[in-house]
Amino acid sequence: MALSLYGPYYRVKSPSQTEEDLEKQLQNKEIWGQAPRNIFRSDIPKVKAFAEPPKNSNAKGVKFWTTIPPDSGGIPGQPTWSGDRKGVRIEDSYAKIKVINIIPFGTW
Amino acid sequence: MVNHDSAQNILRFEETVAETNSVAVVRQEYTAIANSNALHFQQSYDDLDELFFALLTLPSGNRVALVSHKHSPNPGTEICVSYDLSDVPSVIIETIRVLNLSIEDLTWVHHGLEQELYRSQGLSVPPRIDEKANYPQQFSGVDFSGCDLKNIDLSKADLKNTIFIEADLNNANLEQADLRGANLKNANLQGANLKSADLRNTNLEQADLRGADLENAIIDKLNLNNASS
Repeated sequence: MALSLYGPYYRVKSPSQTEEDLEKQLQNKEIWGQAPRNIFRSDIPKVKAFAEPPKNSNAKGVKFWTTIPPDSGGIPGQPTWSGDRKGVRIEDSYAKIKVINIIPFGTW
Repeated sequence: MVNHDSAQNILRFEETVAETNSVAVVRQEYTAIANSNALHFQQSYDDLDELFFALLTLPSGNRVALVSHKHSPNPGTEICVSYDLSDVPSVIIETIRVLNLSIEDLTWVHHGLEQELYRSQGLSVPPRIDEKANYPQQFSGVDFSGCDLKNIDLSKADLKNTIFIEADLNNANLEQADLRGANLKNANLQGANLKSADLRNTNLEQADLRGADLENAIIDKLNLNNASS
């Protein structure tokens, strides 16, 4: 079956992310979205991204392409991947999607 | 327990509040909302980006978080609620009233809520904006070297100057794709559909083209050195 390809999507590096985190993402070709680990853990894990480049050119992060379409009906320009559906894996309170290609942007 | 990032002294958003579920967006930026409503926005972050958020307790006793991602290319401020909140449309309406905004300031409402929300105000649901925004397909010039692109559908795609060195394009559909200047050196194109593809100045050196369909492909200055067919 033919697969559609979507991207690039962008995620900006968070204060807690390290170069090791980046390496893991690049090696595994996976993007993870975390659910809360505290009393709010009933939250649904989802992968979030921007569908356009971040507005600050100094931002750093990763951009990726995937064959997994985002959830329908999300905020325009801010797609998510969630739920138990084809291509979205829920593991240890993380949502995980496989990506075809992932490239860092900015200087880590 | 709250996860604390000691390096930056910033708390992770989802571990700070329960109101993390985006249900609507208003066109106003968080700075304008902060100024007009004397709200204090705190710095935080989630998996997507750094962000600013303020908690707003409504007269009904419900609470919402107003959220703006620092590097978001999209204007506006999100209204977020907890996942177990009931009657969310009423809470959205209450929020925009408390903020002295109007329903016209809503630029997005969660699709599962919009019918009820607008009907409750005697309004019809406005047309959705830019439904395709979350499905970008920009590949021109991208380096896909070594990527697994088996069975991928890139028909009619703009692939000018795209790099596919050693990429696996087994059974890929590249019909009518614009591959001018693309580099497919050592790529696996077994069984690929290249019908009517534009292959001018394309590098297919040592590419595996066994079983590929090149019917009506535009071929000019094509580098086929050692390509298998």
